[in-house]
Amino acid sequence: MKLVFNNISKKYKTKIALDDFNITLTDGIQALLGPNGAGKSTLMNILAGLTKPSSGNITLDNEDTVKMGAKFRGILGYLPQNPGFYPSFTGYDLMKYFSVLKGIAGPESRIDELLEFVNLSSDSNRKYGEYSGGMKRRLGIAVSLLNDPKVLILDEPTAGLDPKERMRFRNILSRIGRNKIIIIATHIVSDVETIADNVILLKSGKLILSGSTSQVEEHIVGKVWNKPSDINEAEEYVLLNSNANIIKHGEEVSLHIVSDVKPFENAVAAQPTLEDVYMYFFDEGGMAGEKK
Amino acid sequence: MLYEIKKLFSSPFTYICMLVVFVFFSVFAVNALKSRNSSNNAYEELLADINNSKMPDEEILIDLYSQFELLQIQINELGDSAFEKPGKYGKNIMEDYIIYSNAYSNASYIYQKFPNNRRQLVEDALYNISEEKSKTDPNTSVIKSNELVIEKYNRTIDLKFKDTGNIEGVQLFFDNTIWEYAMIAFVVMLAVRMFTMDISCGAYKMIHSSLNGQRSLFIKQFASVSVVVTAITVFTALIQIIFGKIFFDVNDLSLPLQSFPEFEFCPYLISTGIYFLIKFLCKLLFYIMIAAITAMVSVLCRKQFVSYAVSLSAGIIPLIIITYYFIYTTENASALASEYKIYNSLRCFLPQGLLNIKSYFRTFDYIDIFGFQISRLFLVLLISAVIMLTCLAVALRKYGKSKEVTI
Repeated sequence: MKLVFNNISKKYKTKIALDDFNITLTDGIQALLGPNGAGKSTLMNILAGLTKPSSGNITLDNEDTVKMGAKFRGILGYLPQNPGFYPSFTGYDLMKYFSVLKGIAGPESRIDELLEFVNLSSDSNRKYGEYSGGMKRRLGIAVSLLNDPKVLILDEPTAGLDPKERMRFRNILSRIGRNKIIIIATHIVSDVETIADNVILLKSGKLILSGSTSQVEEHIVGKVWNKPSDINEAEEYVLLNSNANIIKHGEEVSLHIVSDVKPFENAVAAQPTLEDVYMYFFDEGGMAGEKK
Repeated sequence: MLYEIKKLFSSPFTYICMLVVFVFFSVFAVNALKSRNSSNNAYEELLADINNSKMPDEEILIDLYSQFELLQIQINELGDSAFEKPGKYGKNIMEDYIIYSNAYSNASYIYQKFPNNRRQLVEDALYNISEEKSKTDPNTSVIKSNELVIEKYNRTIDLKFKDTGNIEGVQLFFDNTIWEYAMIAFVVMLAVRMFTMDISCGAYKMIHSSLNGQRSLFIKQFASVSVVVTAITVFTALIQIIFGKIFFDVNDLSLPLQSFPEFEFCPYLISTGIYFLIKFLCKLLFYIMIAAITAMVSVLCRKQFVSYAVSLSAGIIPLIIITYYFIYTTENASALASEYKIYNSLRCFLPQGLLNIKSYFRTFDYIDIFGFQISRLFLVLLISAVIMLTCLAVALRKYGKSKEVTI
């Protein structure tokens, strides 16, 4: 499958949410990284058919998704940023309701399978209003998987979840079949670092960079530094510089700095991580660059 | 669709609103019941005796009048003891007097007033036509209008001499504007809830991005609101029929509507039952139209408060205006022709006229439009249907297509 975004732009009265966004996505997990306000949710809404772009189009295997209409919605799964459901409906009721909306025949076995998959079988008869944040998000994932979608959009799926729930979410994602295009829009790098096949960096509506994790990290080789330090010096430095953080290994303290130039004489080049890439391109201090 | 109805009733607020509606209904039902006359078996006994005697029509009136006169003389002679002397049908002479008075009034309407007035209408229409045709430049609208009068009022309507019951009491029971306000508010509440709930709870993105989450869902949601509104309207209509039978003695729904003096000049050949059915359907159309307006407003603006405000205004403000002119022209002897003209125009173009259709059935209620005689009722039905379909078309087009939504 090939999902192509052709010159997608979205303009509001006072803001450009997306600016000439072009990319081709294939099967696998696509991590869409960017800070708040980068245009991730706008892009997801356009893909889900909820908002029209100001210009451009999206094609799936050379078919315009807008023209596909119901056919595209039939193969789409979407978990929006803040999903909500009817508080008085039970988890099972909601799955049944959405199975009707998604046109699924004989849904009971599919519902049971998915509730088991997201570990909500024992809570399916409780009302949605009684669910914890993690349970609500897992139910959302189950709903988005009801129609075994070929294109799955997850918009900030782990926002507000505790570490245990986030690990559970990563496990769920890794078990979903690989013959799908899964787009995860997030600003939490650690959620996608180990599972993403492709990373897309979005800032102020523009595509900054895309590629595999290693390809993206390659871009900032020689721009990540470690400097041994003491705790006072380190704390003082990070207070004044947003492009650094403190690393502690037992008693040893070092500064981890993302910078185009060597910040200190005794700083040593370090292996970049995806977190460093995020900091390099999205740091408010001016490390971010244009599309490369 | 069952899930959509379940969504409507998932909040206690819906039940509270329904309770308020039924409380309003009950309060005015009680008030109407207080105004009714109690069932008079004695009166029916007299009518049965007269019908069984197979007296010719012309003799019935004479017989009734002579009995009525006789009783009047007796009451004058007896004074207060008229209440003590047993009557033939009533408990006493005074009750007999009232019974014969009602029977004479009924009979004189059936055998004299009704046929004479209709004959006069036809004669007047014939005269108007000949007068108009004799002019050098005859007004064809006047001619067509009078021709239609002849067509409508020249038909024979066989009225029976029997107890028709208190239809005015039944209408008082159901044509109360304050109860209509409550029902309009309830319809608006239902429709706003249906078309903004998905947004307010955050489910709309997942719903509208689903296979059946666009137009087909809108149709189901609108159908769900319509089903609930129809159920309540049917229920209240059935209560009216049942109460009409039990408390207002409206027993024979097959009687021509003209059996009731209030509808003497009704141009349609319909029974009382058909009149109530038309009344019910008109109200239902109005409520469904309000639901369609509310659906459109809710889909367009997505904000609950604005949806409530605009839809309630669309439903209630015209009702206040039309009710004001109705009361002013019917209870104000000094009402000017211009005020009647305003009221008649409102009845023509405001769908709120469908809530009280009595005025469309009481007289020859046609207007000339491009040379065609069109009844006001037909016009208001057409306008209501157009408004409803237009709102539904707009809502359907915009449904599921979000600009960035704020709640």
